[in-house]
Amino acid sequence: VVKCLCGKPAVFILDQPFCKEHFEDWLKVSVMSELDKYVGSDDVLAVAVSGGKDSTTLLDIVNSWGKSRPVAICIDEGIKGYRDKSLNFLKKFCRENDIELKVVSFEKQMGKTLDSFLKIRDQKGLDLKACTICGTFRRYLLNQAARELGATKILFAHNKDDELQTLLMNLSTGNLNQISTKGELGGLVDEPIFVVRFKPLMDVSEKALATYAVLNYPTLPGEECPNLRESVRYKSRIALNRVESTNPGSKDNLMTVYKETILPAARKSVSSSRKIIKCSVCGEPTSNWVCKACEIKRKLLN
Amino acid sequence: VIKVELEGKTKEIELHPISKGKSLTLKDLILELAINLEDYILVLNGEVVTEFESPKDGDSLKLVRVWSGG
Repeated sequence: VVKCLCGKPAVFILDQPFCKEHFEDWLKVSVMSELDKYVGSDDVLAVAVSGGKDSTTLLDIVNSWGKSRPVAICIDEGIKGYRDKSLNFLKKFCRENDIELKVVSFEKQMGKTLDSFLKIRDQKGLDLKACTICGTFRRYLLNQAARELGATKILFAHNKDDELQTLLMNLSTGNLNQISTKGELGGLVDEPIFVVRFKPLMDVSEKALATYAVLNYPTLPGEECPNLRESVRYKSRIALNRVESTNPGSKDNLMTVYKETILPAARKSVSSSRKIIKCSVCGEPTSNWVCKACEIKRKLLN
Repeated sequence: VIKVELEGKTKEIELHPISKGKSLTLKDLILELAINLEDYILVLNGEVVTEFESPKDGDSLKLVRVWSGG
């Protein structure tokens, strides 16, 4: 039996084996040190949550950090049989932990549920991936909701795997603009209309977070989005996991190169060329005449 | 024999030493099942364990898929 330094059986191996208690301590300390580094005493925090493993863990740790009372924002896209389960878990979790939860729905704010938008997409034969529609509307609504709540930072539970998958996707399309907006503190930090995005889980692997969830949230629904397999992200995920299993440590090495070289270079390269204006349709921030959310809505509904 | 639960299906796998003096670990078992260890959490008899654990006759192993979406 592989044991932790304390002598108890290990549940997870990082640079050394950790028992349940020390693994949980490691995760909490890692996340809290990120919070200490990037969150000021004046900051008002919103946490983007879904009732999934990553955002529940993040919300739990931010709440127990004690230096700020977070408000949780959940976007209900309207995916029948999936979001309703995680939303039920989330509502119970927030109630039990005395956390304010704001639920914003696609149906109310964008006119239809994601399920309905996808039916329209298929009827019209539009070349739009579910994740493109969902991700664009989600980011749009999260920024709006966080700003309306007076949040100065919105915390995203993107983990190391998410960030590397995004990097791979953006590298493969040569999208330097997108790469420049990522990292621990993402978004356009100089624009007050954008709430600063902060990712305190960026150095934590998906497997570590799933293990933490299995150990701590036994009733958390462990289902994947039914639209996942049509995404480019899914393919990136498989590719990265294959590389990691044959060459252990690859993800960590890639993350180091990303943070130390790729991200600073991308930011330097695009910072002077980026201009933000207000969308001519909805007034939300955009770099184009019409924002991407309004553009997608027009394609689907007109 | 060890009972293995994977993706909702259960099957029984016979345990055998992989070489003289070296007992089989869960990592060896995962390799035999041809699945990626990176994608699964190992739960042996209800407890989360590492891949270096050696299973015993009568054990029950659940492979919990590392699900995406957070």
